[in-house]
Formats: sequence, structure tokens, C-alpha cells
Amino acid sequence: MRERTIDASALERNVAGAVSEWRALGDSDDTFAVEGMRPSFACAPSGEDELSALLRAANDAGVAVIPWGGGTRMSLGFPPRAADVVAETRRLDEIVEYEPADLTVTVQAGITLAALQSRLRAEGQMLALDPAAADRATIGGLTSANASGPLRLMYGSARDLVIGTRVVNADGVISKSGGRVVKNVAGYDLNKLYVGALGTVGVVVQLSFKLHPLPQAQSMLVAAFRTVDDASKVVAALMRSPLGPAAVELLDATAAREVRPDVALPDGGCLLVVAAHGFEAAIVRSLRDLRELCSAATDLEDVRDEAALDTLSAALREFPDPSRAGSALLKAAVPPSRSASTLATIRREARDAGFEPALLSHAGSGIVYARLSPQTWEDDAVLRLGVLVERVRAHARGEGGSLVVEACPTAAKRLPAFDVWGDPGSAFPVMQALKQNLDPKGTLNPGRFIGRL
Amino acid sequence: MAHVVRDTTKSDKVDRYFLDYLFAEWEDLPEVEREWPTWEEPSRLLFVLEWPMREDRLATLRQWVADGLLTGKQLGRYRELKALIERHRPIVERLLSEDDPTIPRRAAP
Repeated sequence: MRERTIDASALERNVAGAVSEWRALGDSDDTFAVEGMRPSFACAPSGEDELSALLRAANDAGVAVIPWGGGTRMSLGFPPRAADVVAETRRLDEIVEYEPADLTVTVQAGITLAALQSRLRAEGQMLALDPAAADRATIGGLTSANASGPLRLMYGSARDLVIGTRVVNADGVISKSGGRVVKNVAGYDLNKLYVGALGTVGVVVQLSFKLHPLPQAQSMLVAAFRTVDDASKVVAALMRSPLGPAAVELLDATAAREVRPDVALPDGGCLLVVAAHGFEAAIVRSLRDLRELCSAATDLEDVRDEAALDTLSAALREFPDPSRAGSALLKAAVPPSRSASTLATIRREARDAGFEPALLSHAGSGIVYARLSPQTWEDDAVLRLGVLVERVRAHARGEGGSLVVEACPTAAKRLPAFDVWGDPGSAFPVMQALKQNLDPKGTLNPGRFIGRL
Repeated sequence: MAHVVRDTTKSDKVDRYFLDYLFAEWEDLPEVEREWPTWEEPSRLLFVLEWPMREDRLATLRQWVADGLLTGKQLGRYRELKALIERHRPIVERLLSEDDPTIPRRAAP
């Protein structure tokens, strides 16, 4: 569908001249559809100057622009109020500056995470982000969605790793931020403003990151438990211990069958996967201590082989891929000590609502993903999803947390009471003021963000 | 090329991501307050929006102290941090306590 009719010839006259690669999209072209809304045009600026000219022209003409990286996180957020032009970042794919000795890198936003990691790996380094779909997802898109993966526990999220940004604002003005907070008299370091803002307050065109050395040694311990409760006791003990695991992943039996089909689990059982990064001696010590903590496990396996580690890491990483067709993906964030109980609650609520969920938790970080994949998303299933989201959100709030729907059918997002983000509470007036200050005309991704900003 | 490879213990994380971070944030507050009138509106709004994250990290650190996870040296730093926070808490309260934090507050011309 097209939400509104725009004057295509005026749009082309005013905006198209700004970029060297511009094309009209057919009425049935779904290539860049966002929640069923088909933009009229797509363009791919060759650099920040073209993007700046595009946004200036679009902002002046009241044209809505949808920034587009790899398209892997377009399921996040509300349907846009308007979607006239897609601005792809794929031509901004250079490594601008890489100093291995400084453990920093500066890249254009359109480079994929996989391409960057490949270059860094050659120097024995990594960007410590491991979200799903790294081969397709761009650095700019991942940062705008604040996507992360299992390693968030040890290395933090994009917010912790970004040290500089270059952004084209809605009015086309290019701005740069970075450096220490109060040493810059212009104000607070705005880097973090753009992380997780879904491209609603500016289009990130360049990012600087701090890097980490590849770990000297890695291992994983895979432990099977009869009940979530048994596993949750281990997670609690682990988080209270001096051990500093790189990742702590808890999977229900359904998710475990996908990630480790060779491990048999009873219904109600769960799998705990603990990753350790560091020196070889420390890894050996960690594995020994972890085994002691897992005395209630029905099955224990050390994974040390590189190929097996890669396979298991990839399966864990890709589980919550929001671009997987046909599924809804809920993401609860709760205090880490409540991860396991939240996983158990979501499983019960989902079953009560008629779904058979697959659940995976980054238990050490307090993140719980629930993937729902019914045979079809007929009206009844959409309504049941709405009820489930309300119930799980109430649980998460009760634990001091939140719930975001990272992917679901568009029909659900169009239900009157359905909120993919949840109530931001007292922070909302501040967020509104930021949007009003930085994109007063609603040029960038209008309506997709929290509170339909 | 200098490689600093981490040990797989929580100790390193306590120093880097909690004590170092919180010291930097709380030590900067007098300077933040001095410069506040010169900050652009987005900077002030973002500071207000993000402050609770510092409090969350402090709460996690408190829990780890209660769980006995800090070394003697780290406990010493934690006590210094608590004293620093006590001194600078009024600044945070002043910066966040306006009736409407979305209204920019500038120094009188």
C-alpha cells in the first residue's frame, strides 16, 4: 500500500537531482516495503555530500526518507507514517581508517559487519559485536538498531563500543561527535544519541569503534538440565561467582533442538551454554569451575574444537534473527537474576495463548527472546499475539524490565492497542523534545520509533 | 602490535566497566554543571535521558559488593566512589530536578 499520494514529478525535480543513483519503484515493487508501505523511489548516495543534499531537499519538500542499510532490522518499530524515498547506504562501504596498534577503526556506515570482521581478523582483532545476520547487516543499521548478541555480556553493546560518529541530520547538516564528555564545550557527547534511535534523528554515515584482540583461547560448556529451575540456580551461582564468562545462554527445549539437535532434552528441560574467552590456562580453570557449578546437569560437554565452536556460536547468534520470515520475535529485558524465571513465564504465557514458542536467553545480560512461528498468522493468531504481548510486558515491568516486539506481522502492528516498544514513561517528553529539535518536520523514518516519534 | 588479552574473571570487568566508568562520570559533574548553560538543547536532553543508566550501573556494582565479588583494592576504590557520589549527588539533583527537563535552561544574558 501507499499511505499517501505524492507529486512524483515535483519530488523528482526537487530531490532526485541530489543523488547520482536514483530510481522510481513500481507500484507492486516490494523491495523496500516497510510494513507493507511501498516507497515511491529508492536512491543510493555515493557519499555523505550526496546524502546531505538529498536530505536537505527532502526536508524542504516535506518528503519522508527511510534510511536503509542491509534491511535486516526493518521489522523493528511501528509502520512509518509516510515512506516516500528510501536512501540506501550500500555505497558508503569503506574502511576509512584502521590503526591496529590503537585498537580503533573508523568505517563508513554501509559496510557489512562480516566484511569489517574479515579485515580485522587478519590483524588478530575484532569488533566485539555478534548480532544475527552479520553477512547482510550494515554497521550503520546495526548501530541504529542497537543490535547485539551473546558476547554483549563480556564486551557490552554498540553503545559501549562506539567512540565517534559522523551523521547527516534531517536538514542535511553534517555533524560529528566523539571524545570525552565534558571536554567539549559544545556539550555532551552525542555519540550515544544515534545508537538505537532507528535513524529517526539523523543518518549515521561514519562510525569509529574501539576494538578488542581476538581471544587467545575460547571454549564453551554445554549443559543439559531437566528443568529451567535447575539451570536458573546455576546461572545465579555463576553470576555471583568471580568467573567472568563471555556469554551465558539459556535455551528451552524447542530452541535447543534447533541449536543443538544432537542433544536430547525432555519437554520442560533446557540447555545452558557458557562461553569463556581468555588465556588458555584461564579457560581450563574456568571449565573446571563451571563443571562444578553444573553438578545437577544431566549431560555435560566441553566444546574446544574450532569448527564446533564456530557452528555453535553461529547457531546461538542467528537464533534471534528478526528478518526470519513468518515469525514474531519478542525481546524482554529484565535484571539478569530474573532471566530464567522470565523465560519460564513467557513459555507458560505463550502456551496459554496457543503458541509453541522457542526461547533463548542471553541470561547473563537479562535478555530473553521468544520466537513464535505459527502455521499461519490468521486474524485469531494476531489477536492472541496482542494479548500475549500485554501479559509478557506486564511481567517484564513487574521485574523492573521492558519488552520490545522486534518482529511481527504488520496486521498486529495495526491493532489499535498494540505497542511494539512499550510505554517509555517519564522519558518520553525528553525523547519528544529531542525529535522535535533534530527532525522537526518528521523527515526521517516518521512514526517508527517509541511513541510513534 | 600490543595485545591485551583478558582473563576470564569478573575482576577486570569491575575495574573497567564499573569503577573506572563511574569515577569518570561522577568526577565530571562539577564541570558539567559549569558548562550546562552553554550546552545545546540536544546535549542537555541526552544527558537527562541517559543519567539513569549510570544509576543502573551503580546498582549492579552495589550488588556485587554485597555478593563479596570485589577485591580489597576494588573495595577501597568503591568506598572512594561512594564518598565522591555523596559529594556530587546534589549536582545531579539540581540538573535533573527542573519541573520540565525538556525546557532548555540557559544562563541569563
